[in-house]
Amino acid sequence: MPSTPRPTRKGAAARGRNRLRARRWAGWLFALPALAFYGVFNFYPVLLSIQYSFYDWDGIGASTWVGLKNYTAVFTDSEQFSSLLHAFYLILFFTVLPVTLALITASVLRRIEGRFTGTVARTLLFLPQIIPGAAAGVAWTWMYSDNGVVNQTLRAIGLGSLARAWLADFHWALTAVGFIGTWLSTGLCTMLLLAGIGKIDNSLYEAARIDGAGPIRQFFAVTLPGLRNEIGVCVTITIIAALASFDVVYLATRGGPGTQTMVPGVAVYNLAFSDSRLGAASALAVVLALIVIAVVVPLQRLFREK
Amino acid sequence: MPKQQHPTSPARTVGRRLRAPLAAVAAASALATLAACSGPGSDSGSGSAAGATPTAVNTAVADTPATLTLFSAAGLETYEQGLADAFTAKYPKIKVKLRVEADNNYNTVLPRLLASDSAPDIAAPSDLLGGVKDGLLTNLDAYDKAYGWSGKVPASALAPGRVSDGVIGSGSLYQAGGSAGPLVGVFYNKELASKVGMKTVPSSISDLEAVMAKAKKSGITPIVASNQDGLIGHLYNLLLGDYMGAQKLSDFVNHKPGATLDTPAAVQATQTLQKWIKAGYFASDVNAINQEASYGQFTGGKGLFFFQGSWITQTIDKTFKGKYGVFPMPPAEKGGKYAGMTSNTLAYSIAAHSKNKDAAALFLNFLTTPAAAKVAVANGYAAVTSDSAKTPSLSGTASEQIQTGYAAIAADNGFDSWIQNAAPAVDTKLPQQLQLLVSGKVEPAVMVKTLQTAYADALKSS
Repeated sequence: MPSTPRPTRKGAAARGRNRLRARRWAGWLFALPALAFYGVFNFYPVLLSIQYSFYDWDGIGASTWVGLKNYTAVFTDSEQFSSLLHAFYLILFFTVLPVTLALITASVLRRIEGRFTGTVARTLLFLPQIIPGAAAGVAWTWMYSDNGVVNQTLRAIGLGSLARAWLADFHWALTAVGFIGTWLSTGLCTMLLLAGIGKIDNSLYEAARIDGAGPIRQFFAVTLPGLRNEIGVCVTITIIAALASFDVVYLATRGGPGTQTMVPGVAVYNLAFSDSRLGAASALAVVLALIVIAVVVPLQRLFREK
Repeated sequence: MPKQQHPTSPARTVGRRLRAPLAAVAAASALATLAACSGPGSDSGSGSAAGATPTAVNTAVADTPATLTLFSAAGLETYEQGLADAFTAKYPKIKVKLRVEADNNYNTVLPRLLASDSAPDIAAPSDLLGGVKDGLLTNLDAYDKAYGWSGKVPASALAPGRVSDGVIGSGSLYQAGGSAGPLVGVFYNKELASKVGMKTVPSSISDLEAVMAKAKKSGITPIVASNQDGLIGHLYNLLLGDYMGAQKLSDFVNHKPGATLDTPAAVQATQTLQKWIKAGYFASDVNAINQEASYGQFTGGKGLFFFQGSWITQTIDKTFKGKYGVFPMPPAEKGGKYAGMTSNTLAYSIAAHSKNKDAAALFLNFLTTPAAAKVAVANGYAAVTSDSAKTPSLSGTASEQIQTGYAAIAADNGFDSWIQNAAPAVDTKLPQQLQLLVSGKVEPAVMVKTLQTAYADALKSS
């Protein structure tokens, strides 16, 4: 609080303002425990990371100031830079595919809502969401293996020539990892969009139908615009998941074969904990955070505008 | 930092009100962070010089009750529990408690753990140089003098625990104990071996290649391996030792000035591995296989050879005992010298933060006794004795074969180490490069150069 007393005009007005001011500070008081936790466990580490990013440091011993060297390395070291590109490629599988699929499923589910099949379908779709990414990573390594379900299916339908060790294949590993992400986030998006569809006034659909709009026309004219906010949420969450992915990739491939599936999350982990290069790891993490913000903030605006 | 908190005047808008104090806190903590230390880690001194280099040591601690913590890896738990039990049997007043970490996390967790206040007393860090540089390990010279280790343990067993000026091999002692180690060599499936008619131990690389070619022809996968985790590295390292010679390879790992991997011999070793890859000696999905899966493939009879270390006996004996054998990696040329990696599994370090250094040193001293060597041998490790047979053969139990194989390498002075141990950055690069090699995406000469560059960069920054 400012220590200099402010000149008061009238006693009553001052008292009223004082009460208001007290209430305002009471609010802060209630928020204090949460803020303290946020400060200690979120905000402070972020600041530390920014500080570390300017040093050469093995995490334990003495450190040397290196200025922007770690940041230039992010863009000149092919391994770090390509990890950023991979993250953007994953958006296709973590965001574009799931949101598209979810839009289709949600519209279909709307029609069979209430029926038993609808409930079953919803449960099945949401199931991947309650499985930890790490567990999914492990399960999918088995399914993708040479004799896994994926290849068995391909062979069963006569496409045996396409069968391969997916996660070990140089061209397909990143795509294969991406599909794990699709599987994980489609359910979440479907649920969010279903909830959104429930909020759309049914009379809009009726009006559209009376005007002669078929299911597809209804989808584009009523469903899609009505879901603007929900789609925004889906896109935001999944893009962050794509750019900051770690668990699925680490368990499925550890960034291999070679560095074909290296993503920033795994690269940061490798730099920090395997190579003991805390500074380089922090710089990459800071760049990643900035990229996430740069991508997500404009999207927020885009989806919020009416 | 209440002093720096300048709240805004009450007339501001809600959003502003929220933002301003936060910004104040931010600015305050940012200032505090930047002002408090010139750089991270500079104040963490990790154990005073006195703590890391004790001068007055006490060897009469057998009757003082104490509890020691030994930091163990899951794959070594049985073995290290065996050592702990044998020790407590001899010194009942001192308990040894294991703290077990997953194998693939051991090396990443250990340095941070050693730097913490709850450091384990005893551990076996793979990055000895880093541990010494950061003052995390106890200088054992005083204990060496008190117990007389240098007098009773072979010098070659203690040399890998000595560090001076960032080079391993001489100087002060940081890792000590007895002398026993794994045999890293060629494990073979007995049934498949007799099917392809392997009657004697291959005596050269071309001998080995002949057997593999035969296996391939009869539809048997010649080599079981895992390369999702880069463990073809065991085979690669054996080939490097064969072609470069154990001494040159050790110089590289130990940071001897001028040592380099970028040599024609190393390229030749890499080419040999590439040749085997191109010949289809590995399973096609080897890049997607991890160690656990490869154990399953070997014990499931899915391949003839398995280039691994004798620590695997602790795992595969459960289902495969008696059905496999092992011989040392044959020399590059017939009649040449044996070479192979090993590490002293009876040597440990004491954390600089340990509060029970004297008791921990008693544990290290126990490791120099035959009782400890017995535990090592029972767990698949080899301990050289003067009467060991030195000619590898396909007869005898796997345990006997491990002892003879180890003795054969010892007789040729052929022990070297894993190139991953040269620097953490090499440890990260090697699996990637091996995966590239398997996929035909890198040429041997380029791969060797890449590894050398990672090594040189790591040395420059340390």
